[in-house]
Amino acid sequence: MAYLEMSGITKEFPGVRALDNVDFDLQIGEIHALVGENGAGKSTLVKVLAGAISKDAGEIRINGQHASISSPKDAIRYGIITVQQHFSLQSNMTVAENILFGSYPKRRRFIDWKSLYDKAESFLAGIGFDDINVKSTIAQLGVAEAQKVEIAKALYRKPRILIMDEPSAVLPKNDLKKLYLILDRIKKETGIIYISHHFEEIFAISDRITVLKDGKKVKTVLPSEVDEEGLVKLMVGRELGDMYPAKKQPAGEEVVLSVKELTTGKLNKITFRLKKGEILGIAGLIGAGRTELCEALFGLVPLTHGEIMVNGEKIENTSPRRAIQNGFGFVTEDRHKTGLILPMAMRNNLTLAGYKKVCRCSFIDTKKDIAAANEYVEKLKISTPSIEQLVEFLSGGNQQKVVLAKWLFSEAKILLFDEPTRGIDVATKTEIYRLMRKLTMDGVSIIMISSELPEIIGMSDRILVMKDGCITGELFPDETSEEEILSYAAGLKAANQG
Amino acid sequence: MTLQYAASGEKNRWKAITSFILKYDKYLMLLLFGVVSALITDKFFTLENTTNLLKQNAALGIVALGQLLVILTGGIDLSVGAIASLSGIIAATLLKNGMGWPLASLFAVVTGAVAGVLNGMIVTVGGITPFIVTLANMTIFQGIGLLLSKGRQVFFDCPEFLFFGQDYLFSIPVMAWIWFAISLLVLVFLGRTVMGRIIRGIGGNKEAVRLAGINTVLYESLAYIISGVLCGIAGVLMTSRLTLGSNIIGQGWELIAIASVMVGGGNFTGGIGTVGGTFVGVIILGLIGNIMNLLGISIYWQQIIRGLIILLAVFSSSRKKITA
Repeated sequence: MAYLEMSGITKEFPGVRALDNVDFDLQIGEIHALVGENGAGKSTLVKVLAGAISKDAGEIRINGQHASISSPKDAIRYGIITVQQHFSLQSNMTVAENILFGSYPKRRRFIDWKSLYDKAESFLAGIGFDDINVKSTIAQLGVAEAQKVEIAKALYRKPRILIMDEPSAVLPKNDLKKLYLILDRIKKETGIIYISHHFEEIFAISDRITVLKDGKKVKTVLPSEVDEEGLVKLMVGRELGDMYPAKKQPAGEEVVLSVKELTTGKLNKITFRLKKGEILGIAGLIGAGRTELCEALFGLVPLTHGEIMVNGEKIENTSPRRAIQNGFGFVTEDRHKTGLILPMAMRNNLTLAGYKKVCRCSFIDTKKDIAAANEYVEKLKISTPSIEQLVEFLSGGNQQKVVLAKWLFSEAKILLFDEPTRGIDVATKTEIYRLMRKLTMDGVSIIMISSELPEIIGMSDRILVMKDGCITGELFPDETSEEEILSYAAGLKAANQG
Repeated sequence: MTLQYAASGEKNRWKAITSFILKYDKYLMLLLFGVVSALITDKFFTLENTTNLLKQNAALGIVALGQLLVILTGGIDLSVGAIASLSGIIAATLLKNGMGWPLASLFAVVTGAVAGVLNGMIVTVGGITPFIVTLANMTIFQGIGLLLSKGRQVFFDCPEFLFFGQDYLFSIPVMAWIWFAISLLVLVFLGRTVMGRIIRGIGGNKEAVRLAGINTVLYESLAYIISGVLCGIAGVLMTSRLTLGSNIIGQGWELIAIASVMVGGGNFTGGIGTVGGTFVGVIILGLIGNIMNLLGISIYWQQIIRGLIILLAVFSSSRKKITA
């Protein structure tokens, strides 16, 4: 009998049945992957288990006994610990304080700081995350480090059931390997629920895979029983066909963007050209300066040296406003933080950057506004109940389409994509890829940052690899491999760029 | 099984009812208070009482509209009462010294605008939390008012000026007409202009607005400036109504204005709130006072009950956010 049994779990939100009679079980000693498209109910299911949201129906049994979990506190009492998708850390506290949160060592009633730091340090060393300074505050850390602290915090609580909601989304590869090692070690006494969009790791680490779709359980399978395609079919309910669209035409010869010796605080003499209708992939590790490059092009970071030419004319993007006037658009890494106004209607988000096209003497021409929204809903196949829907209630993929529509509406000719498909399910991913390819055929040129190497190779016409603020290699997708890209990214190989 | 279905049907009905209540909570509240007032006293629906209600709340209602704009940007303006008082004192002092009423009123409103510019610039350019900025400026504006008036009431003699605060048009107070007109203007401003949309957007996600190539400093400041101007207008109206300038005409307004926006469905997270809701919020809070006065409830109890009703209203809108 399984250690954890969830049966008939049902949860309804207004207008949508997020979970419909879902059964799920977990044994001590296994990693049980939970997969499905966005909105399939994965997060909702683990949130029910963690007591973060209440279920409408169903039963949870732990160790054969009925378990009533109605708050996070109840869940923790059962040893159910979650590694959050969005961080649960106190950003102004130190790493040590966060890891040991709630169980600080004391000496004569006062917190014993020395032993607090020592304990945290040795714990981190024990799990292999020894590159983190326990005395720095979370605010000083990058996303990847913060995610590691989040994981350490969960492990410190010695979970019986560990829930990991997309921990790999922001972790670089070497840290992921460490994470897998840790999971393998704690598995003996723990059951692990692992949510992920990455097939590679799902097949690498999981013992069983449960597929959810539209709030229903499709099937539980062993990784040996299916391959990637089979899994996608289960998730999507149909065959997807090719993930990446064909690279139909060789990019033209017309150079739209030419960057010469671009230098900022983090970038060092970046020089490259972007041709009309080309998708230029930018690969590199976290911290290589890829995002910084986009920010510099978009006028968010001042240049200390160098020049930018668009269609042969020298331009100065000193602010996002100037960049937009010069035909740039920036699909940022985090659509919630920097891409969308969540509590605002889709229609209003869409015309935000190009509002001048829908207004007359600073009054909004509602008719034009609505027409524009309808046009792009049609064009990009954004699925929304209405153009007045608040974007916070759209799925991740549709939100990303709204961001994209915003820049298309502002008539961007050079689109900067920073991780265009992060947190987006497989079916929508292919749609976004097709859309990007279609845009290039309409004459849009794209610079695409991505940490997913298959995506870089599958989508780019040409690849630049960055390391420490420099371009270390220029590669062509037909002639390169993931290994080669990585070796440039890690600095094992370097080419003189012409 | 049938039993289970019946139960779930029952549940759905309850859900429908609660969602209906949540959707129209403030209007239902208004209706409830209207009916209660009509039942407990025959004086309530008299023309006199209704016009009184409008007159008592018009100035505050105008201030609340400014507050709404600031709250939409994700900020807060604690200095509204102080600005209104200061503007009133300026108007009264100028009138006392023989200036004509149009110019004196204009100066008072300009004072409000200047105060708003100060608030806005310190918040946006200085990058300091609105709460602190407007709290500090509140005491500064109060101090300036006290300095100008030497802490006393300022009397003046200008019968034409009293038109704003005391006269009626079609048996409705002029003050109320001005309130309606400004409400309509702000409604159009928020719903139909780019500026209004940007102000709402800043509260929803400032960074996204900035990345859309929009000067957020300008538009965020604009909300504080409009708030200042509206406070200036409110100060002029109150000075006309009371026939004197005083340092206490706007006392406590910041809290009632904020409460009105909240009762009307606004939210401190920014980007959420409506003109209609705020209008109703002002009326509801005014109505409560009115009912309690008619009932002869002691002023001490009034405070407690008003606080409870604010809590109830905000609780209702916070539930709405969760279930939406």
